[in-house]
Amino acid sequence: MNRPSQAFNWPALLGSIALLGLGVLAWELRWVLLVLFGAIVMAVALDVPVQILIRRLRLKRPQALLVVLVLLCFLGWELGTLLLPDLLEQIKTLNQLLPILIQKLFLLTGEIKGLQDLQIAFKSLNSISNLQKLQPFGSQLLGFAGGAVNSSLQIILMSLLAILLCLDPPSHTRLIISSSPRFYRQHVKRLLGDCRAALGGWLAGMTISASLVFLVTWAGLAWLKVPLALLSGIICGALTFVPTIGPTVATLVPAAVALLISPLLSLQVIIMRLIIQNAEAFLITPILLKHTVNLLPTVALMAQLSLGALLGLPGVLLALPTIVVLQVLLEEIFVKEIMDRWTLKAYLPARNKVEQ
Amino acid sequence: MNLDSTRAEARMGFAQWCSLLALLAAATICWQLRELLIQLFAAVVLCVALSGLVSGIEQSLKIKRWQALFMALGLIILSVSLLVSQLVPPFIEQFRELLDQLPKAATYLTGLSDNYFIKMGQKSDFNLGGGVKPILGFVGNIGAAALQSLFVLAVTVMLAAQPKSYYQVAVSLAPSFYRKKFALVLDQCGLALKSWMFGVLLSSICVGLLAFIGLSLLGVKLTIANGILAGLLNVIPNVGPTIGTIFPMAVAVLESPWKAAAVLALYIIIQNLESYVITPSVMHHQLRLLPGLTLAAQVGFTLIFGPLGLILALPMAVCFQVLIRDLLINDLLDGWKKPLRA
Repeated sequence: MNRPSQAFNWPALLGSIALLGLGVLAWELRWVLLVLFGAIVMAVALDVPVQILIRRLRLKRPQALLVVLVLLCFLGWELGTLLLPDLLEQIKTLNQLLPILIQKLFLLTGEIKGLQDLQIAFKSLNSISNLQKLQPFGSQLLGFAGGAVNSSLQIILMSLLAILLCLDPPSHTRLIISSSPRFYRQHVKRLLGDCRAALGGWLAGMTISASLVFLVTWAGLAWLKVPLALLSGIICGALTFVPTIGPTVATLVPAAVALLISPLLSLQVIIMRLIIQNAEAFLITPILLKHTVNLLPTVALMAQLSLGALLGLPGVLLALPTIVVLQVLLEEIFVKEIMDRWTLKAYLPARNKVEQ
Repeated sequence: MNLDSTRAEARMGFAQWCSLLALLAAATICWQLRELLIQLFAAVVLCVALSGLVSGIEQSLKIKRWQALFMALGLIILSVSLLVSQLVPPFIEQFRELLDQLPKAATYLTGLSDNYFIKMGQKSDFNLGGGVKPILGFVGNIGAAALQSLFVLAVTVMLAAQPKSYYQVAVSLAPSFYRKKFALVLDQCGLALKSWMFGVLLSSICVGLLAFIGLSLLGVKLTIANGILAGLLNVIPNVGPTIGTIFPMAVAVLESPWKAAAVLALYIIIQNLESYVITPSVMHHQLRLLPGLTLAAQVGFTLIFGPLGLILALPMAVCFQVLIRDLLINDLLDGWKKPLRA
């Protein structure tokens, strides 16, 4: 760089323009990238038991993957035959109960005198200003229903990709490593390993805590004699993977069902869910994730909201895995590679030269 | 010029362009998420206030931090619920009365203006219906606002639970040669925010009390509601007191126009007292912003961040003042001499 650069640095400019184009393209195709990332998360989830099988039983990778998939299918089938009739019946009752529930809610609000004004206000709101607001919401809901087909297609695509990725991880890793500068390849390899370890640890920890939540919720709801206990338990367990927002939404289902019987029961359900949720968030998960992922609660919440604002609902669902990977990358590259090494030594001679 | 050096230069330039692009992308994302960032800032401001209380309890009672945090939260909940249970029922009653009386005041005003315009030989078509729709939209927004404030409160408690680790993360994001200085600057920001909030609290209490006393001396109704309103709105300079004047004037104009004038005079006196006597004696001199700067900050932050920006304009301006003074002026501009050419 010491020689006077007489010509403009064209190759660099062209390269960066190409990079910009790639960035814009990636933004346009963000749902593909989201599916790809979901597939990677699923592949890591599959890879954890596969590696255990490889190590324990000395199977080859395809065989181990096949065993895991067959086991998963078997487990799903067993669970389905065991639970599906029950579940279907419960969903049917839920559908029947829903109109009654809405009626009951209206009655309840009518009973409280102060809220009558509110109800009138709501009615007037509906008639005047909120109609415009509700309409896009309604069309959104319709779009959501239409998108269900689309999203099931995406999920099938995602699982297929995950299986393909899990079949041969080394060659995919090699691809990523070879697309980085040569002096950096060793480091990229280590980074990929770190990311995989963090993601695997997070997934394993969350699976354990989700199944614990499922079991405890199911038992608790059955003990309180709330109908649809199994369905509520499954929803609460599955939504544990989306911290803070998920459990809060999941609580609505058993609480609403319990409200049909009596408000007191609903209150009990809400208190029970609050205890379980807080125990999960502040006791079980930190202990399970102690050695793998150290995620600050505000960081997780902010990540969910920002990814939700940028990418919509899939962003919220995939926010935690994304932030787990992003945290590793930021810590290793941004903090340790750039900021930790950024000292004034490199600039001091230049400054002395200027001042002379 | 051989091929290798050209390649090296191209790579070097490419790396620089890459960092520029990354910076641009980060700025774009931050701009997209500015509403979330302002909520985060609100949580940080609340957390600074809370941690001041927590460390006060910690030192005076010599207990552990988490115990102090629980005590502080309990104390706040207790005092807020006490305040609410004591003040809200009369406040709501008075507020409802106020809302009932506002249309009357409006019709009175329109009557006055109609008379005036008839005298002028013109008929004004003063339409109040236009004012109802925005109010309804405002009611619809209350749900979103409640969710937002819940988020802010949750983040506040999370931040207050382990402030040290967040502080360390923030410091580690700065370049290594700058970390010591950056930590100092962060400390100073916290200190400035804390003392600003203390000053505002004192002056708000003074303004609320003065408004209460003045209004009860004048014999205007709804003294408690208007006093509290004046105290709360004092947090937002310029805009807040102006809005706060409307309500008592509307109440007073029903009784007689001269009373409204008296209320206006009272509020102007209180406002001047606040800005020239109370605030200078309470606020640290380094925290006093120039009036023009305050107004400019309010307008700018409102345009960028919306209503929350207006409320948080002053704390943000206080923080920016510290940042600009320490980072920009002291470190960059003061050391910038004219380069000597050989």
